[in-house]
Amino acid sequence: MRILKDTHIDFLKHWKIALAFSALAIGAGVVSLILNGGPRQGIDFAGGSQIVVKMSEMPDLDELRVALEAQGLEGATIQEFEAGSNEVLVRTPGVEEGEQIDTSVDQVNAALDEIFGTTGMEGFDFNTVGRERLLQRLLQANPAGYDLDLELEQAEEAYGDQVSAILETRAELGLVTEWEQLDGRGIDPQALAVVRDGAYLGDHAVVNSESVGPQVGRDLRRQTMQAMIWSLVGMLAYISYRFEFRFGVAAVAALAHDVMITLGAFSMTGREFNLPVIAAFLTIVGYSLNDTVVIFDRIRENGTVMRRLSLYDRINVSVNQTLSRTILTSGTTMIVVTSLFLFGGPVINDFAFALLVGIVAGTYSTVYIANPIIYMWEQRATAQRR
Amino acid sequence: MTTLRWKLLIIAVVAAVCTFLAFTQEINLGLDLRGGIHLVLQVDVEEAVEAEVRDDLDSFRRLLADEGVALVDSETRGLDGFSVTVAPADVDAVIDLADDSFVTYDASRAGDGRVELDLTAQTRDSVEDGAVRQAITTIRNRVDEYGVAEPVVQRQGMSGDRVLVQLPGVADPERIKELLQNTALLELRLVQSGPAESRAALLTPYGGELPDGTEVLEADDGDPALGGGFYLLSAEPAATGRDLKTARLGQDELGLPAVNFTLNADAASRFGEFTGANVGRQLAIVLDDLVMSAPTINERIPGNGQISGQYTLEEAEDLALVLRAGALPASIRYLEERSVGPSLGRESIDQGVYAAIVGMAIVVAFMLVYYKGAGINAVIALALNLIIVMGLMATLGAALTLPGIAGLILLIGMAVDANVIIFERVREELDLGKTVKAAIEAGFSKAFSAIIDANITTLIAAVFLFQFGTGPVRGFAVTLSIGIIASMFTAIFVSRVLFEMWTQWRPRTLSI
Repeated sequence: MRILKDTHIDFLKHWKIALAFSALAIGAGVVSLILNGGPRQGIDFAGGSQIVVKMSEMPDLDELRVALEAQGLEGATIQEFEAGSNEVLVRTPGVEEGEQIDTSVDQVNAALDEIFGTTGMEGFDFNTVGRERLLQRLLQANPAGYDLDLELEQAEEAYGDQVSAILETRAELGLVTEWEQLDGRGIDPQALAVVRDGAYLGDHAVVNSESVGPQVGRDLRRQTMQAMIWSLVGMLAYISYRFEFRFGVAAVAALAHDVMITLGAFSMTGREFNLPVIAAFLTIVGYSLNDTVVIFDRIRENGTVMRRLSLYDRINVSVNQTLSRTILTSGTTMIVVTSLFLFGGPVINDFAFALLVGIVAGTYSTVYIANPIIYMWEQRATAQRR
Repeated sequence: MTTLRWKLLIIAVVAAVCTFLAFTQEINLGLDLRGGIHLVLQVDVEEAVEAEVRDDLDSFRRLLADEGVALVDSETRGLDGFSVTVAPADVDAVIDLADDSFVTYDASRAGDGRVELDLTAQTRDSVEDGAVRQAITTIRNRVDEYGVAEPVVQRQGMSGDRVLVQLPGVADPERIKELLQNTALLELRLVQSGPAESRAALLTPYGGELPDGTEVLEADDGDPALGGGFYLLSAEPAATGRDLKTARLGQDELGLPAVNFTLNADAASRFGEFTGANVGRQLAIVLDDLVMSAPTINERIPGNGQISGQYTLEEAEDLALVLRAGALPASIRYLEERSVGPSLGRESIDQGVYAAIVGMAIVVAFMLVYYKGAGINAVIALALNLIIVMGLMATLGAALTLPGIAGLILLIGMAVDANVIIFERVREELDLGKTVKAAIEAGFSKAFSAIIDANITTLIAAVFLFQFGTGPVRGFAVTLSIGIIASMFTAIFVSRVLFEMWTQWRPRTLSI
C-alpha cells in the first residue's frame, strides 16, 4: 500500500501565498501577545505560588475566592485543574525580592475549612495527617500489646509497616471520603480502629504545591533565553557545515517561524509558559530540523544526479520525492503527540500542546518557508551575478 | 559463524542485557512521579562572615588583654573586619600582634591610636565557602536523622550560596522546611539580671548603658513561668550547642514534652566548674537568641540539662533532632519549593503510560498495514529501542520524570521516522528496478546521511536542554538523548540485520 506515489505537485508555485498565510498566522499571534502584554508566564518565570487541591466536591469558585481573600490571599487565581476531578489550581502572585517564599498552603487550607465547615474540628484530619503522627498514635495505643520498654524496635517496625499500608491506600485513593473505602485493602483492622478514633475525614487535601522566588524566576528566564539562542546558533552552524550557509539561514528562518507560530498559539489559547513548555520548544526546534534536513539532503543529492534541472525544478522534485516520507513521519509523530495531549493528563498538557502545534508548524515550514528562501536566495544571487 | 550470525548475536546480547538491567536495577523515578519535595535554599553567607568577624574581635581583645595592652575602644565594621583603638604608643605593638597572630587580616593604622583590621578577600571567600559547606553538612545530618530514603543535598551551581535539597517520599513539606531552617543555636549563659519588662527598665541600674561583656535578650513568651520580658545575660556562653554530646526527647515536671541534653566530656567538666562557682545564680538556656528558660543553679551540674517550653511532641522531637544534627552556621532562606504528593505522582504515571500505550498501538498498527512485512521489522526495532532506553536509564541511574515519559512517547514517533526514511528509499530503489539485495543496500546507504543529520540536530537540542534545564526538564533531555542514540543504533544496525535475514530466507521478494 502506498500513497502519494509519483506526485508532481509544484510546491514552489504558490510560495508567495504561503508566506502571506504564515505572515497572517504570525501576525495574529503577535497581536494576541501585544494585547496580553507578552507571553503568559507561569510561576517558573514570573515567580509566585501554585497549589493543586483535591476536594470531595467542587465548591463554588467565587465563594472560594472570597474565602481566600478573607485569609489574606489577594489576587489569587483559581481554575479547575482537571475536568471532572474535583481539583482546583490556586495561583498566588510572587513575593517581593528578599522575602521568604510562601506556598500559601495554610491559608488555602483555612479557606477550604471555612467553606466545608471543618474549621476547628476535633482530632486530626485523616486525609492530611503525616506519617509521624500516625505512628505515634499506634505506639501510644499499642493495640498489639508490645512491651514498649523491651520491644520498642519491633513495635516501631510493625506499626511502621501498618502506617505505610494505610498511607499507600490513601495515596491510591487520593482523597478518602468514606471510611469504608479503606476496607479490604490489607490494612490491619485493629490499627485502623486506632486511627479512626479521634480522626475525621477532611474534605480537602493539597496534592501539589510549588513556590518560586523572584531570584530563581529571574535565573530561569535568563537560562532559558540562553538555551534558545545557543540552540539556534548551534543549528545554524551545523547546517551550514553540512550543507551551505544559505541552507543554514533558510533552516533557521523556518525554525524561527515555528517558534513564533507556537508562541502565538499559546497566547491565543491563554496557556502559560513554564519550564517543560520551553523544553517542548527546544524539542520542536530540533525535530523540525529533521524534516528540513531530509529535504535539503535530497536537494543536494539531486544536484549531482540531475544537473540539468534548474534550482526551481530541483526543489520541487526533491519535495515530491520525499513527500510520502514527510507526511508519514509527521503523521506518526502527530499520532503519538495527540495521544499524549488527549490522555497524558493535566500536568503535561501544556507541554503536549506545544509539541503538537510545533510539529504541525514544523512540517509546513519545511516545505513552504525553508525552500522558498533557498530559492529566493539563489534568485538574488543569480540576479547579482548578471 | 557468518557475519550475519555475529550481528544477530550482538543484538540478542544487547537486548538481553538491557532487559535484565531494566528489571533488576529499578528505574529511578523523578520527584514528580514518586512524590516528594524539592527545595532550593540560599545560605546567608554575609551573616557567616559577620559572625566570624565578631568572634575574631573577641579573640583579639583577649589577646590584647593577655599581652597587657589596654583597650580604649573596639568595634566591628560589618563585612570588612573590625578595628581597635589603643593608646598611640601601643599602636606599633598592636600591629605586630596582628601581623603575627591574625594573618587572615590586614592591619593598618587609621590615626589617633586606631588600628583597622581588614579581612582579606581570600579569607572572606573561604569563610563564605566554609559556611555553605557546613550548612550542607548540617542539612544532610538533619535529613538523615529525619530518615529520608535517597535524599539529595548538594550545592547548586559551581560556587555560590545555593543548596539543592531533594527529599523523595516526604509528605509534610512545612515540617521539613522548618526543620531545615531552624538555626538551632543553643547557648547556656549566666543571668546577670532580669526579667524586666523592657530593655530600658533592665538597664536603668546600669545607667541605661550596656555593661561590658553582657547582652540583652528577650524571653520566649511560650513559657508562662518566665513571665516574658528581657534578661541581661553574660555575652560569653558557658556552653554551646557544639558541646552537646546528645539531645533526646524527655518530659518536664509537668509531664509535657521537653528535650534533655548532655554535654561532651570536655565541656562537661568546664561546665561542672562553672556551675559549682555560680550556685544560687540563674542559668539562661538560650535558643536562637531567645531565652527559653532560666533555672536557678542549685548545685554543681555535671553536664546535662533540659529545655522545656510548652512544646508539642512534634516540636520537642524536631528540636532534639536539630540539636543532635548541629547548628546552622548561618541562616538560610528558601528560594524555590516544589512538593508533589504521592497521589498526584501516581496519577501522572498512570496517565503517561496510558498515553504511551495508545500512541504506540496506533503506530504499530499503521506500520504493519502500510509496510507489511517490513513493518514487522520496524516494530521489532521499536521494541528493542524501548528496551535499550529502559536498560540504559536504569544503569545510569537517570531519573524518569513526567516530561521524560513524554520524551519516550515522542521517541516512538521519531524512531519510526528513521525506519520510514529507509523503507521509502528501498521502495524507490525497487521501483528503479534493482534487485532486492541491491535495493536494500542502496536504500540504507543513501538514507544513512539523512538519518544521521536529522538525529544529530535533535541531539544538539537535547544537549542544550540538559545544560540549561533543571529537574524534570533535565530528565526529559536525558531520556531523549538516550533514546535518539538507541534509535540510531536500531534503525541502522538492527533493521539492516533483520532485512539481511529476510533476504537470506526469501532472496527474491521483499514485503514492503
